[in-house]
Amino acid sequence: MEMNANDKFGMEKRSGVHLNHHISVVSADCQFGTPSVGAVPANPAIAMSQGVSMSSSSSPSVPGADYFGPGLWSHPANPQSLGFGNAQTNTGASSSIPIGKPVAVSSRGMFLQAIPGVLPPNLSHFRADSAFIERAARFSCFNGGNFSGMMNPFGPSESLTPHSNASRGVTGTQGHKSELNMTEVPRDITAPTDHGSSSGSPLKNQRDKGSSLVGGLSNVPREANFTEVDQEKSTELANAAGNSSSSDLGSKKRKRSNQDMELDQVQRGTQLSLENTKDNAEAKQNLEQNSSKPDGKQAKDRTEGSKEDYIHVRARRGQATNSHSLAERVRREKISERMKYLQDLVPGCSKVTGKAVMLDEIINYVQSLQRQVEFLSMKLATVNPRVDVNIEGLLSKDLFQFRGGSSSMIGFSPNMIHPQLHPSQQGLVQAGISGMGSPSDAVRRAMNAQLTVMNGFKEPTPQMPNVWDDELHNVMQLSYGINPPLNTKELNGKSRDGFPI
Amino acid sequence: MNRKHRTKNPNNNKLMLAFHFLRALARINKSTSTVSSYQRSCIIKRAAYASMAHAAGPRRAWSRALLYRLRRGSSRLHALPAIRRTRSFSHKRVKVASPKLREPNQADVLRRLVPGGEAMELSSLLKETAHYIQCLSAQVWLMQNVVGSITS
Repeated sequence: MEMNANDKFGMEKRSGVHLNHHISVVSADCQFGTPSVGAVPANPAIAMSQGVSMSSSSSPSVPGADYFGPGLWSHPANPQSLGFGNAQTNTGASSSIPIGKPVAVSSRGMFLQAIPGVLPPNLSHFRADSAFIERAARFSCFNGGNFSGMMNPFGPSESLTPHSNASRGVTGTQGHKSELNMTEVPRDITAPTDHGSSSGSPLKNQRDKGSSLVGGLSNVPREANFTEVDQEKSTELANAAGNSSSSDLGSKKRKRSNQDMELDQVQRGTQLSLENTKDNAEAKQNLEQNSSKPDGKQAKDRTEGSKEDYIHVRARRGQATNSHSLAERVRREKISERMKYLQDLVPGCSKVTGKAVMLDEIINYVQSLQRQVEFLSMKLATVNPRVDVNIEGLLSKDLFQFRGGSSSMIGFSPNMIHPQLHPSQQGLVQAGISGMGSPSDAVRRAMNAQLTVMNGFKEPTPQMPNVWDDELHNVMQLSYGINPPLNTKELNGKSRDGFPI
Repeated sequence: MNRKHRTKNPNNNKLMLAFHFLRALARINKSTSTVSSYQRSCIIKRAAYASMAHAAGPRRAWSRALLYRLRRGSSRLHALPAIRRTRSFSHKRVKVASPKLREPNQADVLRRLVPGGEAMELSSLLKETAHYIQCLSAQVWLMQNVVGSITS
């Protein structure tokens, strides 16, 4: 029979529910059993076998199916799947199950790549038809694809594009607000974040959607939950973006599939009414809702330092779930966190509450600090002329003061200070120093000796003059005492970044 | 990573600050001997801000903006360089210098105060402000110590 994609979907939908349940259950099982990438191909095979068993008419003539066929049948001998398929055959599928046919194994990547483009539009239409086999196969392939994406959460680029295509395909075909919310939320949230454009959130979206779709097939007929789902559907889809880690995702999926299995058993006999995409969308949202319930009332999960670069947000209970409001809430919470940190910085602001008052205090403090700098610079300008010797004394004083705090840095080896300086140059530098004729050279050298003795460094001080210009030699001698304890990384980093030192 | 830096940074920061500032001070002492006291104070002020920016490192938007401003040679340290808006280091929305008069709310005032704050949104502005306050207070502490040790 001739089947285009839409046809298949229509057909699939009619018989869809049973198969969906089975597929979801099986995929869940497979997921549990072998959460490795290698297990992914098993799913399509399983689903395919089930689909074949379920559907009343096979659709071998479909070119797409043929395309998927080799890859899907790559794991034919799966006793679980076969058992499932046989046990759950509701429709008297007379068509024998060519499950065991070990067709040539196509590369998983091949059909995985093919799937996202084809599968997503199909997912929304669950119509039981002979082409449901292929429908389910594609669906499971999509799921497998998603799993592969899930397995590589930190390789977003390669796995993201097919998934993002899939998601976009889904949103394009369905055009549901919830769907759009689901994909838009990460965009909204990630836009304001300071992190780079990681694809972690869309990837998670894909993962969630895939898993949700798996379970959503089983949840389609539950009309009762649709009303409450409607209100929360965007939340749940936004929650899809709120998964903060693959482990959480895995646990969520497990919980979801547990729920799905229970639902399957309960509602096996009542699954017939799949008419339109609305059900599917709601089922998806329902699934999201169910899945989110166990993990459900988590507070907003901030994973700024986590492996993914996105900040995943979950809509809290009783809060608006619009994607814009979610992003706005993220921003507001970020701002309030920073205000709290500022409150600690600014002295005397612990009792102040409220953004406006805090901002006023902060502004006042910054202004006062700047005025202090100006005043002190004026004071230094007037005082400075008779400072020549005092600066060195000041240096030693500072060093004494810093010693307590910088004891950790004194342990730095002298070689760390300036890697670009060759140790062989130290002797030359030392000679250079002694050859310098500065008025207070004696004082400086005495101070140097004093400082080196105090610091325990014998060598590092002579390294500096090699770096600096001649006119700075005197100044450098002043800074010898300070150099060794300096954080060398910072210094090196600074000198390399082009800033004039 | 930010947390770790915060615990170790104050001392590192202060040392870097002291190094740069004292070096600059010594250089100023050596070189400028005939300028007026006011000019001297301006030079010292610029040196203070420069050392502050250097000690803070290029990772901070305000230090980059400050150094940019200093390198441009603007006489007024707190002047608003007109060209800066097109070269914002932050990727977020740039505040357009609209001719319409807006009542300057606190965020705008803060933006003017913190170097480089013109082109930042509020959350990053607050972050930069926090770091700026840290470095400013370190600088003030250092200068107070210098003055104190000189005059004592």
